[in-house]
Amino acid sequence: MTSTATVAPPHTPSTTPRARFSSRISTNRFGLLLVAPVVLLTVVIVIYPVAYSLWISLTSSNPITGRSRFVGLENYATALGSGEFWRTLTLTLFYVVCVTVMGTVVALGSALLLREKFLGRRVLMALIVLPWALSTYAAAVVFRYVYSPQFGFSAAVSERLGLDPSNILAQGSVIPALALVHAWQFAPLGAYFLLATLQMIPEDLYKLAKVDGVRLMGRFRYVTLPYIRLPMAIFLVLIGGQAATAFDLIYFLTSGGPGGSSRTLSFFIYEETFQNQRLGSGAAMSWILLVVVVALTVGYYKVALRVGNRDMKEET
Amino acid sequence: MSIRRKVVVHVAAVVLAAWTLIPLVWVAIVSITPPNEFASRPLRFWPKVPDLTNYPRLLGREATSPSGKVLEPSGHSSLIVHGLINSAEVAVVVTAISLIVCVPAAYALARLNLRWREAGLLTIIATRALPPIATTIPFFALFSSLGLSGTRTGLVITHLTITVPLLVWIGTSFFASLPAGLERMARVDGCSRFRAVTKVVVPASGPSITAMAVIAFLTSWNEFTFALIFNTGSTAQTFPPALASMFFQVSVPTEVAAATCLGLLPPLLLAAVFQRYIRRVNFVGIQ
Repeated sequence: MTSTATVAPPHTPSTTPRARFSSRISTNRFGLLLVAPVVLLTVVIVIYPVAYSLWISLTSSNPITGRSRFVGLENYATALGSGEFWRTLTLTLFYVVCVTVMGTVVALGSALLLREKFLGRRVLMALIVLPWALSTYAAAVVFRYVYSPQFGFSAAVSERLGLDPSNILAQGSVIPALALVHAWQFAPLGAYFLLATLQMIPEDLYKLAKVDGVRLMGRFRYVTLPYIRLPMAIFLVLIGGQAATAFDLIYFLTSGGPGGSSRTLSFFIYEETFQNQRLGSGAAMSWILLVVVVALTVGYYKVALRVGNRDMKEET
Repeated sequence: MSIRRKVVVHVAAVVLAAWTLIPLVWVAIVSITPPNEFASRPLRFWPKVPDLTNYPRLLGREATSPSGKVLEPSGHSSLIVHGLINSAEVAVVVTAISLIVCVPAAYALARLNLRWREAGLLTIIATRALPPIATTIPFFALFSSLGLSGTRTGLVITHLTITVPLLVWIGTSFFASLPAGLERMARVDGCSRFRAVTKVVVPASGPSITAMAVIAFLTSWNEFTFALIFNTGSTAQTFPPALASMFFQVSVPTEVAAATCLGLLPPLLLAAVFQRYIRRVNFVGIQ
């Protein structure tokens, strides 16, 4: 991204005194003036609370008296030493993998489809914005009606097929079932921006590959994939981050159940903080969650970019 | 295109449309299912006698059922109506503040050669990585001492923590995609820096700013975690926690379905109307 030249020509003709004044202030000052409100707001409503939560994570408060005392790293030590914490963290990672795989398959599939010409393409292009517009909480409410064994759409379909309507949100299948809802909601965003990249690939490349006898999968591997590698990496980071911190969807569909089988770290933090009133412990765990998310993101980018570079070298 | 490919593409299109629409349409169907047909076996895909009475009853009116019986307003109507009004108020204020603050900043970050530009942009975007559940904890402590729990003001503040970084991010990529030298032309014509922005840049980015506004509104309208933790049960309760309370209380599923439809209609309509602008959101623009 390049910034455009905004240096004024030496003799800018100015019509009003105000124009003359504001032409004289430097680019940097003018820019700072425009950015200042966001900086101020970010400091007050984001950076300060986050710093404050770091402090909270080092304290232990008594839910009855409300008094808190400094305990150092005790909350972190307790969290890292508890089996339940590791169980919820593992569950979170499993959930992230499920959401990422399903979301990517749907997003890439939709994008590849929408690149083709077919009847009703424009309508479909507009339709797929709907799940995205709903956010995850609303998607969860909607899927309550799809999954319900008493009155769900899935129950109605399995009845027609002569199957017993089973409870999709049962212990064994609850994580993939939740991940499906998340993928349903988030994939349209990925479809749109993968499509934007796909449309930049020159048609001739495919024709050439076809002439050379490269099959469909090969054309995807050698023509399409190099183009979409970066947008894909960004989409994966976005959806992975979303999944790692998912809360509302789980609250609505299962509330961590059945039997804790969908208690991800986010939900565990919610229970610990707002139901058990242990703010310090909740804050400590949310910092660990943040560190995990950031570490995974940075690690993933490193790997993705290195693989990308290696492939480029192979091809040249 | 070969016939085979054509068939495959059309079948895939039908599958994608079904995948997208079935969950939404199903909730709407449940919401117009009369109580005596609800959950009766075998499950029906369309009610014999569609019954729209849930909607007026949720909005606090009496309604006449298809069999001619006069039905009382729903017991949850004030919960839902207040929720919808509060959501609308909060979302409008959040959208206005977000735009006022973010449009100039995004412009400056995209088009001016500022010192600290990269660092500033990165910091703002990095705040998006914060898990919402993690930011609720300090706000919970701060709001109880400031008396902002259970107020619309408090909720607006928490929503701004999400919308501001988001809009700066997408706004910066929007403004960066405008043709270079746009301002210089205006400056040559005698505009001041400020007027070059208001008279040339802003009008040229109408669709982008509209998309930013729609995204801010949707984000606030749909926000659940903060609203649940800070405003549940208060007079400032927005729609999502209101729906949650109705959901987890004793309630009729068809009525909950109708309430869901009422609350989801605004974002769905907004997204459908402005989808062309939303599609231009480019999350890849900033590298």
